[in-house]
Amino acid sequence: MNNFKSIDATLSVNGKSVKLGTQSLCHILMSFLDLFTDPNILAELANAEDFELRRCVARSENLNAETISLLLQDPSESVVEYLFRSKNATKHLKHEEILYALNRSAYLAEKVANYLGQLRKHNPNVNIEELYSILATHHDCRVRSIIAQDVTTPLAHLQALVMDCDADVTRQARETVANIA
Amino acid sequence: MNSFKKINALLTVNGKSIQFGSWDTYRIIGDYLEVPGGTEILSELAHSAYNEIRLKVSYYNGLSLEAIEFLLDDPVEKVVYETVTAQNGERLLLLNQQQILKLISRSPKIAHALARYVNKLMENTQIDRIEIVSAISRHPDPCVRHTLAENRSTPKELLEKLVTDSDMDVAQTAQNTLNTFQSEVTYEQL
Repeated sequence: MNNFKSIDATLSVNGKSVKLGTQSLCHILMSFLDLFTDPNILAELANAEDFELRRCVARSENLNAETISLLLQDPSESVVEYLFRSKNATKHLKHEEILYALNRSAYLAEKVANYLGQLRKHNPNVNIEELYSILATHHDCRVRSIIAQDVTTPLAHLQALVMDCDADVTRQARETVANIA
Repeated sequence: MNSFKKINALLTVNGKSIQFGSWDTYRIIGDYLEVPGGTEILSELAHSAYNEIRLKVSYYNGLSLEAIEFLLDDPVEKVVYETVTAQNGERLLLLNQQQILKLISRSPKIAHALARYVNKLMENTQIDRIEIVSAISRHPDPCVRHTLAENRSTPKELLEKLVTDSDMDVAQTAQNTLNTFQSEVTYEQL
């Protein structure tokens, strides 16, 4: 269970300070995330009570492995989703962490399916074949649909999806197989 | 001549800080500074040597009078212009005779802005309003006089003088503005 902290943020200019509320800090983070390069500050913000702050932080390319793991456990799925948008995070995620995310909900499984290409490209620790197997047989047809449209999906999975119970998935898999051929 | 300061900006989150250079300070200036504690920060930023910071700060509500006065003396015309015209010219209510006369002679662009905001100048009780507007009406740039001539807040006696302006467009515009007053009087009499 995450133990969230309240965030005490101030902006000071030449010794004169103003306290920043969560919304102001969120606005700064959202607009100028590139300024937040210090992993220690990002780690503080990853523990913030406000989920918007945590979501902003999840997009950062400067998170350390510990913060990435913490954010992956976030109770808010949108925080985890934002984590998958970061190249750096997808590079550092462990295979078990990805399995944990995709088993959490169909929504997150869909996000994992969307970022399989990125995972394959940047993360050598991931067993990509296993991910395809799980996602190609996922109970949610939206997840299978993403896999059926992905030209990098192994042919065996695409051929299985041609026989899918959902007509759209079947059509998409057939079209992808045709495109590959 | 204004003397500028080096700006040292820090963002601190739970005791951990990030220091910003001029460009990043410029980027993070935002509406969240329009709070009581933000006035002092805006004042510091108004003294920045980085002209883009001063320009950005010039738009903000909550600038202290000291900061406004400092920005009105800025070497960059755009900073002065934005300081004068921010909040629909409301800041003109805070300025004294000497400051406004100085602005009139600062540049045609600034004088033009003042001609646009004659309504605000006419609300300013700490100045000799007729003398100020009269000074604008004598500006060498016809564009400034033209804006004054078409402004319905310009006192009638000055519009009557502008009717004889050396620039025929200014003269005609002043006459048209006077005519609108005349027709309103006639309509009210009816």
